[in-house]
Amino acid sequence: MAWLPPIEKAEAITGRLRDRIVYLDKFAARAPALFEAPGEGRERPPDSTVDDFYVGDRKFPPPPAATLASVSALMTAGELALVTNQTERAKDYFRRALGTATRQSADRWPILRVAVLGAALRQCVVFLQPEGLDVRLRNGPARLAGWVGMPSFQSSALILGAALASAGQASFIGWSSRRDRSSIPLGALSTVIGAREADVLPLFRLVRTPDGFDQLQEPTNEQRTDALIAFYALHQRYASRLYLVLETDPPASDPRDRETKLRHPLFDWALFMLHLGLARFSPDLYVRERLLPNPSFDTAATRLMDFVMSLVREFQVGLPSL
Amino acid sequence: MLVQWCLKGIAEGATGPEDALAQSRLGGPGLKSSWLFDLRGNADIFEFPERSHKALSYSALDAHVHSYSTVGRTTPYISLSAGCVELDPFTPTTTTIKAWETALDFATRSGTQSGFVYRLWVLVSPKPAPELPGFAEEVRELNSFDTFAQFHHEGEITAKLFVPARQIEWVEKYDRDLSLLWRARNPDFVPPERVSNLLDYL
Repeated sequence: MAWLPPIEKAEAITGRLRDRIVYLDKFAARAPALFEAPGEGRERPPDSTVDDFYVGDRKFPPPPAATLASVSALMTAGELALVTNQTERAKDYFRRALGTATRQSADRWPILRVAVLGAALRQCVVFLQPEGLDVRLRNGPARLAGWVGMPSFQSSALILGAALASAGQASFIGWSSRRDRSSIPLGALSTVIGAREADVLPLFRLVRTPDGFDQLQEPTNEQRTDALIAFYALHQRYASRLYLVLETDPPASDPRDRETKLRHPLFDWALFMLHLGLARFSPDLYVRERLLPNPSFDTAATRLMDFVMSLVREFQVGLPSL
Repeated sequence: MLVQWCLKGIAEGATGPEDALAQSRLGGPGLKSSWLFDLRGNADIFEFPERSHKALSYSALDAHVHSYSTVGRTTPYISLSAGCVELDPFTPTTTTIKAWETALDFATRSGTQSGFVYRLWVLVSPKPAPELPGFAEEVRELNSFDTFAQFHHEGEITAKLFVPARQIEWVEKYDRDLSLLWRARNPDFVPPERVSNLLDYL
């Protein structure tokens, strides 16, 4: 399948994206030298730590700047490989990113990236516990990272995605509204519940309640239909993003001086993780005819959904089962 | 005023190694703008202040950032990178783009050739003043430069006319694989602490 099917421009910049992947690969390899050269004016960590919400947890030092830079570059390289139909290469980048991220002790992991990469590669299980985000590596260490007040809004979609892709409904057992909700920090609860991606939870047989989730209560037909519409809407949003990035964003259409970077990501991690979660834990539902409100739709969003589903099928090949 | 550390990536020319040229920027006038090169031989030194005042303007800065291919040979501005936090309006989340990533990207033309990276500091005005020499403009700051969103992801700080050599700490050369080939420190470098507002007691 052609990559990013809604966008004609996509094929035209494939070469540029391949160059970008090579550059990011080199950058990731050089990051330790670039960010860890003592006495050369580089020992100050860059502000890259802001992409990890647990940097606010003062109990632990932030992940090393070189680690963050390297993991970030490898993840982006993998994203570009994935959307340009190089699935095995993408998985290789993600494995390298996860290996780099978990090389140091667990209390210095860039926890959100470990959760997302580990869940995608089936190398970890992610649980939402009242105390915090519980990330357990397959045959390896685990880390329970406290909520520290609340997760940031921008991490909530990835938390949801990582949890659902790694264990489906079971990820939320600690947050069941049948348990004692008072132990869950209100900020963490409202932020995760407030994510747009949380609208699809009935597809995982999770019912959102005002104060948590309920996995024992079966969603109603109306809740399931609303969730399907929300899932479709996430693809519309993704299609709009791709259109704007590839067709109208000036750096994409008129790059300066061989610049290969695109201004915005081409890959929607949160949506991809929801797809992985459905494919793994709701396989009966994960067919086009059941996911679309009207299977005869032929829009940019439906073509994108087809594309992501084909990516998920390829991505799953060769991954371990948990 | 703020003191801002920046990186500057410059690709090596197609005609051959430019190591001597790169190291010469640690002395003399430092990093020069294209405008200074263009002026060379065409103006008396005493005309420099008046001419530079005419060259610096909001529209010239706008052209430098948004139409570099048109004004690149005559612009009085110099693009530097300090990184930035870029908003993804669709999710809505932010991504941090590191100055190193951008500077090396420009220096090596995305890992396809060798180039140089300079580490330097400039004084930045907290409000736009593109016509005033002596201060760099933080064009990545959209609260001040609200029409400069197009290339925001480059995290640009824009210096004017030249960056004095004494504000350049070092220059490094990288090959196309981003491996460090050599580093030259500036013996005349003056650290920014000399002009910061942290005063010690007498």
